[in-house]
Amino acid sequence: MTTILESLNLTLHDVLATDQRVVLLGEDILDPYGGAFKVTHGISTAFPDRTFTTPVSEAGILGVATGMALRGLRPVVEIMFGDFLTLLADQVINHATKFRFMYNDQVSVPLVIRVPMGGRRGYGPTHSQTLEKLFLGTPGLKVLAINNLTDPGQILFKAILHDDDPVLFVENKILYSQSILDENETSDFIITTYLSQNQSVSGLLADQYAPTLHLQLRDAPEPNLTITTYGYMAELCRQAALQLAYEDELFVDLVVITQLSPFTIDPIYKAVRRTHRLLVVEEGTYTMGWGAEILARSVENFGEEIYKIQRVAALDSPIPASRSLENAVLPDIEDIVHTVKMMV
Amino acid sequence: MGKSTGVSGGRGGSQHLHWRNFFSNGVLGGTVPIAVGMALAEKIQGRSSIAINFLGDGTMGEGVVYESINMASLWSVPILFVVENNRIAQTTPVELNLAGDIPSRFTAFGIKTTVLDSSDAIEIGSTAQQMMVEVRNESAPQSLVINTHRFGPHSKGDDTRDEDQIRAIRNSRDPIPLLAKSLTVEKIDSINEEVEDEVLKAFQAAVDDPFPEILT
Ligand SMILES: Cc1ncc(C[n+]2csc(CCOP(=O)(O)OP(=O)(O)O)c2C)c(N)n1
Ligand SMILES: [Mg+2]
Repeated sequence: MTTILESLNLTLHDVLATDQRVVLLGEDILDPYGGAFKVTHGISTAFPDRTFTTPVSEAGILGVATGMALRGLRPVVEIMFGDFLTLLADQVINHATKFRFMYNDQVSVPLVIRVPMGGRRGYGPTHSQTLEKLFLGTPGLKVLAINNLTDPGQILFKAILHDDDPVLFVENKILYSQSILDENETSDFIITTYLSQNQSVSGLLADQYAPTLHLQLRDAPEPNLTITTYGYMAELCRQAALQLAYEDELFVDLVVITQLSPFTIDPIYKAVRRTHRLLVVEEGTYTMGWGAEILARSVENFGEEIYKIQRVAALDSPIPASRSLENAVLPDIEDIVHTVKMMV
Repeated sequence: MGKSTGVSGGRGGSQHLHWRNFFSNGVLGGTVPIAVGMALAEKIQGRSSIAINFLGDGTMGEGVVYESINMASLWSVPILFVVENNRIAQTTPVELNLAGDIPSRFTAFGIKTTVLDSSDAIEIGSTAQQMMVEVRNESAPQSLVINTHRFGPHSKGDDTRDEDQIRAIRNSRDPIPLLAKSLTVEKIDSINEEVEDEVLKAFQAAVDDPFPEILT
C-alpha cells in the first residue's frame, strides 16, 4: 500500500525525470534529511543540479521561483510549514498571481507551492495552523488540497507539468503517513467524480486534475444531510458518516472538494437538492473561513431548497501545544456526529 | 491612460510595464527576488543572459531585498543591481530612512560594488557597460550605487522640499543640460523637435485609441 508521503515523493522523482524544466527549491530539502516531512527525500541525490536548498527566506524563495517561471522553468517550492505562508504572501498576491493578468497575458507563471498544513501533532500555535483560507479567492491563484481518496501524486504531477499558473498545493500533515484508500476500504460508499453541471461518472476518475468526489452510502436509504469538506477532514467525515449509519441509522452523503479556489457550487447543489441539509466541515478557524463562503454561495444559489445549514470548524483560538487542549480546539469525529444529530 | 493599445492593454498601469524583457511592478522590493530568479534560470539553462534590477534608497528598507542579494551571491547569479540613491523616498529623506550606508549592504554579502556620484548619462553608461561585461563573464552579481538627486516630485505636486533647493539641484545635476553641453545649438534644436514630435504623435494616438473591451 502506498502512503501519501510515498506517492508525493515518487511523483517528484517522476516529474524531475520527465521534464528538464522542473526545479525544486526549499529549506533543508537536501539528503540525507530530505525535507522536514521527507517529501523531497532522495531528490537531491537523483537530481543534484535541479535541487536548491535555500536560505531561510520564504519571500525570497518564492520570488526567485517566480523569476525562474518567467524564464522557462517549472519551479516547485516547498514551504516547510503552512504557517510560514504569511511570509510569502506579498510575493504570491502582488507578484506571481498578478503577472499573467497585469502584463496582459504576455507571460505565465507555472509555479507550484507545496505546503504541509494542519495540526494534531502538538506543534502549538505557529506550526499547526490551517491557513489556506487567507489565500482563497485570490484571483490568479489555484488552491488545491489533497485527501486520501484520490492519489495526491497524480494531482501534483498535473499541477507541476500541466498547469501554467500558480498553484498553492496544500498537504495536510496527518495525511502523509496514511495510505491512499483502496476499493475495499471505501466499499461502504458509491463514489462518483463530478465533472461539470449535470455530469458525473462513477468511480474515481484518475485523469481528472483536481476531482470533486461525491460519496454515497451503498445500500442505504436516501441520505438526508450532505457534508462537504476537504483535506484530512474528509477522512474524519467519512468515519463520522459510517458511525452515524451503523450506530444511529442516520444517513449522510459527502462531497469532498480538492480545488478550493476558484470553485463551483454545482456539485454541492447536486447533493443538497436531495438532502436539503448542508454541513460544512473544515480544520481552519470558524470565523470568516472556507465554510462561510460555501454557505454564502449555497444560500445565494439555492437557499430556498435548504432546510438547515451548519459549520464545524476549529475554535477561533490559537492552537495550543498541549495535546488535550489542541484536541479541544480542533474539530473531530465527535463534533461532526454531534452536529449532524442536531441537524436532522 | 488605460487604452487598449497600452503596453499592458489597460490592465496594468504605469507601474506595471512589460515590454520585451522589461518588467516593473508597484510593490517596493518585490521585483528583487524575481530578477534574481530570472538570472538564475538563464544560468542553469546554459544561456549567457544577465538580469539588471533597479532599486531606490527607500527600497533598502524592505527585508526581501536582503533575502535576495544573499541568494544572488550564494548561488553566483549573473545580475547587476543598480541602486539609484536620490537621497529621498517619496517625502522621506534618506537620513530618516536608512542607517549605515548602501554600498556596505552589498559588500557584506560579498557582492562587488561600484559607487558613482553622477548624473552624467555617458559616465554612468560606460561604467554600467563594463560591469555588465564582468557580470556576464564571471557569472556573478555586482552592484552599482549611483548617488544622485531627485529633480521633481515623487508623483504630482507632492514635493515637500524647499523650492530653492530643488532649483539648485536642477541647475547643477539635471542630466539633459549636462548631455547637451557637448552638442551644437542646431543639433539640440533638431533633437528637441524630433522628441516633441514623437511624444505628441504618441500622445495623440493614445487619445484616439479605444478603451479596452470589458470582459465579464
Ligand atoms: C511595499 C511598498 N511600500 C510603499 C510603497 C509606496 N511608495 C512608492 S515609491 C515610495 C518611495 C520609494 O523610494 P525609493 O526606493 O528611494 O525610490 P525613488 O522613488 O526615490 O526612486 C514609496 C514609499 C510602495 N509602492 N510599495
Ligand atoms: Mg529614492
